[in-house]
Amino acid sequence: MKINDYIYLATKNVLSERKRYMRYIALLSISIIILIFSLTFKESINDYVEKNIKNNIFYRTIYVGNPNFKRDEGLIKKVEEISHIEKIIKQENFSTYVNANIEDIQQNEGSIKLIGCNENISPSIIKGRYITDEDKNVCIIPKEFYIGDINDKYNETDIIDGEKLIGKKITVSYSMYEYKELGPVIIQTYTDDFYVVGIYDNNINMGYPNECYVSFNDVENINKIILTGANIGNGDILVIADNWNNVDGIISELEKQGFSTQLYSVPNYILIDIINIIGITMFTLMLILSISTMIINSIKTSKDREKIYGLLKTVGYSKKNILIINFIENIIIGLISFIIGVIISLIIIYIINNLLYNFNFEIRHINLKIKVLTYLMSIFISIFIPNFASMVSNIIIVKKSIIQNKEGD
Amino acid sequence: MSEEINLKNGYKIYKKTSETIKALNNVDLKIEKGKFYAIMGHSGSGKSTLIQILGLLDSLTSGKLYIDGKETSNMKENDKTYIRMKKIGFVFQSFYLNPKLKAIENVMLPMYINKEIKGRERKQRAKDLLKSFNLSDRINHYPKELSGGEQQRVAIARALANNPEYILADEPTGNLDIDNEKIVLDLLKKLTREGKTVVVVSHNEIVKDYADEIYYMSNGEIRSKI
Repeated sequence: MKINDYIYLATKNVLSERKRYMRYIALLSISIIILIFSLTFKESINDYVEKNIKNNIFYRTIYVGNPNFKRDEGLIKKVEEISHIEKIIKQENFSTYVNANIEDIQQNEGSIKLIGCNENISPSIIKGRYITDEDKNVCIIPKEFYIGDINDKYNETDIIDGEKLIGKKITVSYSMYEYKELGPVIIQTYTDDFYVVGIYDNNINMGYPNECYVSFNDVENINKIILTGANIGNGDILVIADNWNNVDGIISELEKQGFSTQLYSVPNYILIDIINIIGITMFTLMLILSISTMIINSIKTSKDREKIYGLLKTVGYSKKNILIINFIENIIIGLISFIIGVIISLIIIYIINNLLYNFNFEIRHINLKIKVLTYLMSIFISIFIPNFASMVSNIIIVKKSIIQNKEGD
Repeated sequence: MSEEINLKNGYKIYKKTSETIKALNNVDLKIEKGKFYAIMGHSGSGKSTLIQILGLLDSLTSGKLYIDGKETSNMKENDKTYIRMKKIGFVFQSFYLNPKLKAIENVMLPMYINKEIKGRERKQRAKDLLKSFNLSDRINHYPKELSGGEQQRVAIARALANNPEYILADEPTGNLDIDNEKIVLDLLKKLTREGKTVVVVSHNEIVKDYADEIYYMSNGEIRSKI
């Protein structure tokens, strides 16, 4: 029997029994939706945790205490030898505070924090571009931007939509001081214009609404002015790991060399664990539900066709013929169910993403997204599971005598 | 090679938990080419079991069955399947049509596994068969849209799809009224004139009028032959 005859008969069978198969396809599609959703949920949560929690800059930044308690350039050279370090920064060059003002925006004069960054050490940009080491006088600001002391109470109306400031300029001012016994005295005030090139979400990056990112060089240059004449300090440095997974290793190496260390910020491990447990549990339950539904339906559908198999055997079809026809039928049904499942999954995920975004909670940024591997796994399972399940029952059925098949025994 | 079906010392025994049932008890039977055979008997006499064994729908517990000179008891399943496809056409009391296929599709069904009938020929052949049974205007009807007699004629057309030598019919008129009974039996008789061998199992006495040879069965044995 030729392959196109098999395909023709299988297609004919599916079309001629479409009422019965519609129920089966509906259930199989639901199984596939559950499967796609569980895989997507698990992967999206993993990605979210990996990108926004684990690899947040602050979770990768380590304060390194200088045991000599004095500035020492040799210290940096020692630390540089440790692997998996993205960048080493003198503490005074990591961040600074400046006054800020935006033209044409009412009631916005206050202080903001400028933090150094480059394209590898940066919050995730949601619009615009990253800053490079070569950039000068550009900044990335929070999506919900506040100019002022975050310790003060501020109203929602004080928040500026950062997206509207892309391309606009923020004028910062800072002063050179003379440090006298009674305290610092302003010698000269400087101003600089920074143009907004991107925005980030301070909620998912654990930042404050007045924290802006500029190039490391810009921070260094400003601090050179501000800290002129100041006793700069004990020479502590900040070390930024290339990946959150390498932080412990770096800390271990630093401590072996006699440095004291402290993480700039510690992730909420409990939250991460909870998210992972929920993700894995949901995934496992959904996978079991999905596959068991497919198996049960496949077996039931095979049993319903026993009499037809008997007829085919009567007119001379071999067991192999029947099994191949059934195999192709299951592929057709699997493909139809997969397509329906994908379309509905995409719609559901779109709705969920939009609903999540309305939550004023970290989880709103999870952004469920179906990956290629999920598609491949789903199509494989949608074809393999029904075939596997029905193959087992089909083999039992075709092994029966024709008379048993005919009676539907 | 002799063109006949030959059953020698045929036994078919079913073992239940508390008893043993001999559906066939030492049956000898020879079916020769081109004749119309009737196997008669009351319900439970073993005639259906006999025809199922002759048609390779079931197997003997012991004994030998020869089809065109080839002994079938140790045959591989694929070889039996081939014989069923090529040499035997079966007609059932309940028609046993696929309810989801039209009449013409039911008739074409056996042709897909016959390499000698090419793709384009199948439909034409099916049409010709249905036309010869006065069903030209019913070819696109589903079984539920046909009368009992029409369904049985479709079933006979299907049985002839691969031009087999033997037509085995198990109570082919069991579900038909008198008029349709006659139509179906006339058709089957006509086949023997065309050189085919027809074996009909029935409890209906009218079949005797068509048969060249008649066997009576009782309790799994052939009691007499006319």
